[in-house]
Amino acid sequence: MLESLALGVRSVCTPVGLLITLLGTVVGIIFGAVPGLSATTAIVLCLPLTYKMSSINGMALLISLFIGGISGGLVSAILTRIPGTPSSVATTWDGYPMTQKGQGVKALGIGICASFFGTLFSIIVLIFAAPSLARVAIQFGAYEYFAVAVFSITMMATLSEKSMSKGLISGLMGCIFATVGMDPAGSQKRFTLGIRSMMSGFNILPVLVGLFAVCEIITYIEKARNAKGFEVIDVDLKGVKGMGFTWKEFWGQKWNLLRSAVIGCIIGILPGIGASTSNVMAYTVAKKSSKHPEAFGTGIIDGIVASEAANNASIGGAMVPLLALGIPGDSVTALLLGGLTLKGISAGPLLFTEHVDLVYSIFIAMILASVFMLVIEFYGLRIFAKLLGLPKYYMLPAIFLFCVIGAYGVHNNIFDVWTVLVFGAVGFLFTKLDIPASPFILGFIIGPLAEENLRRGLMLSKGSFLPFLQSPLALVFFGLALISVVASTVSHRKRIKAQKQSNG
Amino acid sequence: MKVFKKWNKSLWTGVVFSLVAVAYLIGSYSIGPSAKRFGIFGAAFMPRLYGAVLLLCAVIQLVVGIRQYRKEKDKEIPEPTEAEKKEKLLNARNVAVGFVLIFLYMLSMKTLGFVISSAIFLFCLCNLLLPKTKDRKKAQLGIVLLAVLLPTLSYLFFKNVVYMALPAGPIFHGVI
Repeated sequence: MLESLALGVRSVCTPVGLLITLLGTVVGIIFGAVPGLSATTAIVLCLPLTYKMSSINGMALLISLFIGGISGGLVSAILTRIPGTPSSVATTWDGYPMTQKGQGVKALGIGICASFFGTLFSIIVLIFAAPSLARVAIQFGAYEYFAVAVFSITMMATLSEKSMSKGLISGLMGCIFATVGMDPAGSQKRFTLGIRSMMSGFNILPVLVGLFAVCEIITYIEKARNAKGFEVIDVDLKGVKGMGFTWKEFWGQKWNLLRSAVIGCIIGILPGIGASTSNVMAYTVAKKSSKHPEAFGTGIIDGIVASEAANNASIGGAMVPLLALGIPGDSVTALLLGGLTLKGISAGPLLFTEHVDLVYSIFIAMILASVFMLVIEFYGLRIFAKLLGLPKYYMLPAIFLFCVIGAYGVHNNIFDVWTVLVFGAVGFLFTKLDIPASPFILGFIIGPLAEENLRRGLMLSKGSFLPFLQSPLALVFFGLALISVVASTVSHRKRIKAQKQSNG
Repeated sequence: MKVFKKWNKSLWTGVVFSLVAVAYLIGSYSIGPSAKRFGIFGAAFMPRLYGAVLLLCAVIQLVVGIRQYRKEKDKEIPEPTEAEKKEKLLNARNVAVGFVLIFLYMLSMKTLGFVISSAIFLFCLCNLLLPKTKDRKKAQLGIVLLAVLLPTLSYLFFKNVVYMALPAGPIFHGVI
């Protein structure tokens, strides 16, 4: 392993590699800090830049955008009570009250350090867990991969907080759009409507751009001219120096930090849920296990530590199934998968034998990006706070332009640009009907995997389902799928019951 | 039309996705026959499975929506004020204009080329996004600069640095 890590260091620690990682982290933090933009938008925007880069430099850029993007959300969450990204929602609960009390610098400082610890913890887990999981996954056949796909599909329902059936509808729509083109097992044309460009199906990148970026812009257009909430944010950071907290205070958070990082990491590993869930969950656990739960929400560092350590720990967690199994856990990792695909590299267990240098370069790039994140956020607080004031009527059209370039660049084809518009409309319909978009992406990626392996497995077993249940590994994943369905049904019912009780 | 006003989101979801599921299931019957070795698990197997499950989920949403509709049917919903009606109409108009702008932009990209179509599109979109409270005249200079410089510089960057040829269009073909 040490040899492989040294190989990763040699590949990334070149002047170009270091510069790319540094720039990626800066851009990621800016996107994370500005409300309405996110790590997803940053990666979508920068994907075309990776076309001509080496695969190592390209992945270093995307990874650093990811790390910067998740961490940057804390700036606006703490200073303005508007979370820069969904992964910083829980940070606002104690971060903003601290700012109101005049402890904004302390809140930012502790948040930055917790983010750094969370990221580093999850990278260590990733370095040890991913190769081991890949060694197991290399034995996977059609039965096991189908079981993994079923488990991932069951996570769709849990992604929809309000309604399980809406989550499933979104996921199924993803599966349905993925059936367009040639069928993966028999090369039969499906739903191509006689259009030549549709023979190869929809590419993941325009789908993501449409579903997230275009939908975001249209949603903004809807209210932009009338709403008052889109005014620029002015933040006063006079006298900001250092991190603002003592070593004793930080040491006092050690168990909270560790517990939250573990929660974030585990949640990141599970397909379908990521940083946006882990920060809230870690906050809730920290509150429940605290000696002073009543102080949560009034402006204490415990809440910020829990939220920030967890959301950043989800990064390394989400990379485990992506690298070891080729399964993205959320929209950001789906984009990273897209970045690998653009380079002609397929993620999964074989990555650890065929592209060892790339895998370990990703690990090193992650470590570097988290160090850069700490330093940049430490020295650049003033600048990032100023960025919150950038007017959206300049930024969003500019972002849209780069999204179009990104979509066009996939095949140098206008068809992909039209795909962006179609999926933008789908995304907007979803927003209007309160349907979550994340399960759609999961369905779009997992659908073909499930179909291919189910049909391959049935061909091997001559139409019998019994071998699917005779494989111990497949059984483990089917069991996990069952647990996931039962757990989400129970928690959904509990939520409805609690809602009914609170409504009287 | 008055009936639709009382429809909730679950009811709309149920109706929309029931129709999608039915259309998709009908479409799945146009998929050609697969090789014999696949048996019943041919190319149409998964689409039919997805279509059936989607229909089931949509029906669940319909049931939820109808129950909610019945509960709220007799509830008095206050009539929106003139200002609220006007704002709603304006928001809907903005969305429609946004989609039309994107549609025209994509339609014109091949004919006019990336630089010209993007410049026009950026100018229109920035103006559409500009809040009413802003001094429109003052903002125009920034918008024009953004609309001209960004597409030109990105075109040159992607052409010469990334070697990605964006549509030049007949007017600018060979010029930049």
